[in-house]
Amino acid sequence: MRENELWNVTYYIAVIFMLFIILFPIYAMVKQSLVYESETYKRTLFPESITLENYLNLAREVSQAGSVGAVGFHIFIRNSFIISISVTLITLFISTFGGYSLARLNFRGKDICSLIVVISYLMPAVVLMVPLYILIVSINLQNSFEGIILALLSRSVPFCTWFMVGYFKAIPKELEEVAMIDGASRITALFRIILPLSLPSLVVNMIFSFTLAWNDFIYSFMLIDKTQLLPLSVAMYRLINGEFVPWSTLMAGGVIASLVPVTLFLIIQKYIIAGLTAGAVKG
Amino acid sequence: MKLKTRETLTAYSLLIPTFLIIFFVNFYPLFRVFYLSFFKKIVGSEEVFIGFKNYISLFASDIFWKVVTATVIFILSAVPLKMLLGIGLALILNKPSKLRPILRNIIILPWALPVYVSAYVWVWLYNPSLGLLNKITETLGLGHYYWLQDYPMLGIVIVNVWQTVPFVALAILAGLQSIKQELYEAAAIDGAATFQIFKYVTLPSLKQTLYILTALQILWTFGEFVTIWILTAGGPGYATKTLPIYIYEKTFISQDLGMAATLSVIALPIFLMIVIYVIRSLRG
Repeated sequence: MRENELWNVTYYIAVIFMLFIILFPIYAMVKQSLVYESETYKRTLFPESITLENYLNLAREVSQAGSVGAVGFHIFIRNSFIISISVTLITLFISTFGGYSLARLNFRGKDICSLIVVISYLMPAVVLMVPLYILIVSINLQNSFEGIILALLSRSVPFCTWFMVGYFKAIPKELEEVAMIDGASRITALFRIILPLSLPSLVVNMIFSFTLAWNDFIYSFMLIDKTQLLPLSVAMYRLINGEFVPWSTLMAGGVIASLVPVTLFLIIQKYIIAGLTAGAVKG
Repeated sequence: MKLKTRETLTAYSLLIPTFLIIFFVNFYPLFRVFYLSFFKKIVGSEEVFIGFKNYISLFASDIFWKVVTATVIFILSAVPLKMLLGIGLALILNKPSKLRPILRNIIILPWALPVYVSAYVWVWLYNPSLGLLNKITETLGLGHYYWLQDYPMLGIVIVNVWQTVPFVALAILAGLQSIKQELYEAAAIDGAATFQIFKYVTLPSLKQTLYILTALQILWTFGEFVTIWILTAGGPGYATKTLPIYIYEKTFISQDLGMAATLSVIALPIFLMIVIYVIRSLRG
């Protein structure tokens, strides 16, 4: 009995300590985004007064604090959306078909193809940094959305294809076989039977590639230097490296940049871990 | 026979878009980086074949070994810390309680934030004159620190661990929850103490999950660029100049593409070994 109580107390202390460490930086960001810039110097742990000024700053066309080279934050948000949505749609289309082929059809070279997909997924972005940069410069796509989208496909396509392979393998084969006995071709079976069934996993697939593109820093940082084309990640980098850092505005930008991926992650929470580790890699 | 040919054709045509992309943006660049490592190539000038000279001058340079040391220190301090804290967190979360669903959603937050956002937040927290960390240490009477100047490696390790522990913990939790309840019951009947249950039931069942996670974490920690670049940009001096940071500097600051390619190639064997290990353990 006493051992049990001791465990309970330890458990609650551990939970509180853990929650503090995890939440403090996030709380600090949200708090800072809601206070006037002048409070930065007072290093307040709790806000003295609350304002939406910083968020409004971000939405203004030209403002002192919330702009990078006279371009307002709404442009950067728009850029991030354009890039992420394009990557998502292209990846969804490509990886669904590729994943289906690798999961369901038998053909020569299938094992090698699967291996190539996994290796590409696991390859650290940094190994490809130099050659991708050279490639994109050589086809004149630096400082363009097309260039950055192409670079991001090197991350999203292998990963989402592999995710779809794992998913399609789990659907019973009989479903298409019945349709094909009735004379439907494989493609018809795929469109009429498998895809409607796979809607949830297609949503997860879209969320994966969207957040992957939204969270990118490396490729945008090396491929884009025109201010009007910057996504949020690198625009914020410019703010932080200025002479005067508008911390409150920067934190408001951080909150805005986090809202989208955090919402999406909470929706698909239970699929994430399986998707990133073993679930998607049932060889 | 005819049916089989048709099936093969369908298979290939469905795969074509995937492989066009993978070859164009993954494999071609990989071959290119290998090729370039044998050339002297500065941005704006011609490629000159120099054989193994890039490799030789790299191995002979002090800076390269400093970079390797920083990379190894970073991996060896961050990965074990993530795994230990991850196991701890997972055990806390595994205890059935009403709070569990809420806790899971809160815990995932640091990992759900874009890496660059949490890096910016920590740059501010670490700031010696404006940051809240010094405010806390001063209030508690622990003094005033120049965090990223005095303890740069510790600084980036803390942020990297903070960002990735949620993922590790939730992956281990998934492993914990797949352990059969009967095993625990049997151990309890045999009169095993809490620690003994952990040692003889929990750990062995988790072995596979832990190995794969460790391998993946080594891979991802090794490739970490964003956090380090935003927090310290590799400094001060060579203290946090890991391989990815050095590759970036060679590419965009020295514009020495041949050398940058050589550095990327050197990373490849280590990377491939880990990948092969991960693939094998997932299959076996």
